[in-house]
Amino acid sequence: MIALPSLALALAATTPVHAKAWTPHSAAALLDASFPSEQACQTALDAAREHERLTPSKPVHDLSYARLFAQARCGSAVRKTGIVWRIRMHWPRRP
Amino acid sequence: MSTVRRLLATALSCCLFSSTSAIAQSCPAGGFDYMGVPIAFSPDHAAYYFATDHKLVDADGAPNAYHPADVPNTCPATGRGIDCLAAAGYPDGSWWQTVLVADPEDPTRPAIQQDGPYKGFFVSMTSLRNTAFAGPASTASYVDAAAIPYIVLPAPIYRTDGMGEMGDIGFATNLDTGQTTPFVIADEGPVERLGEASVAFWHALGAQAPNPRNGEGLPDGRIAYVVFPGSAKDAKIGWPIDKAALAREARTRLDAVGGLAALRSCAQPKTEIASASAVRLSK
Repeated sequence: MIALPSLALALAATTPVHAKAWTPHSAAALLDASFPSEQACQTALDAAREHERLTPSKPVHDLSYARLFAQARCGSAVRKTGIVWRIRMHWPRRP
Repeated sequence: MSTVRRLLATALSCCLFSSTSAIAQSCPAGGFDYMGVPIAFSPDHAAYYFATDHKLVDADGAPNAYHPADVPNTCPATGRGIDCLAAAGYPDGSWWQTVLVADPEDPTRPAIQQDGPYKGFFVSMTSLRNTAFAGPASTASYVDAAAIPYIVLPAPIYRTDGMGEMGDIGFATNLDTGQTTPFVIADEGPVERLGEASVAFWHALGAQAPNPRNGEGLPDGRIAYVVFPGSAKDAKIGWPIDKAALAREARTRLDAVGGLAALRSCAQPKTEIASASAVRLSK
């Protein structure tokens, strides 16, 4: 339902982090965003978690945004333009 | 009569469990759960399996997916586009530019096809694209949901290492009917459940006329999937995607992991197989 957004689009979608409830599309945009530094990525992730802690949004099929963001970590990726930082998901493994 | 049925059920149960347990020995045990769906990896992580009865239809990439004359913010069962504008986030969503090509002369509105059989429709994109083929404003640069069986990876899955990239391929079967289809990963979804796929995918699994507007016409049954992460690197499926080549490449990889029997078994962990069998026997 969504295609790969540009960095500008992704950041625009994540900008109102402190103003709006999380939606499936705004959270996806955050996961799709590229950041110029690890700090910028971590700041966005921390802000997302904090917003969800203060004003929980409606879960998606029992998956809360708090749990979603709890599985997220910032990691680097090599692109043609250099190194970017992105959010990657790390789900708890079943034994 | 009830005794006969009970004996029959016991016999069937024995056969069923002995055959599945033989395959299950080679099935992966580890993995993780996503929205209640267990995902299991092969030991070398060259394949992963899951099964779900959740189904959603994606029309993105179809040249007749979205039409500007359709009424916004409502989604009647029929319209000019095979899907409603709300599904593209247009005009009120913040994300329509991720679904529709923006007009180069006025990026605040979507581009409209200027010629061809679907002149007047918007240009709908998929994450899997080849803009070098016909340019970013051409529908030929995207994957036609009505023609190509593809699946949509939810963003949290797509952003998990080892879950595949756009262009990776796989195979699916309807566990209730036995119908099968190869598929390619061609789109990314929002935070949603697994089980979204193209119109052509659902056609192949038994749908007569899947309606992306309301989900009507989808086939009954639980669908088992196997995805081959990294397969885009050497799967020769062409562009525009050649359905025969896609089928050949997916089948080769399916056979290498044990064929349909392995897919049926490995997509459902043992506990799920047991409960599903119990339900079927009780009917």
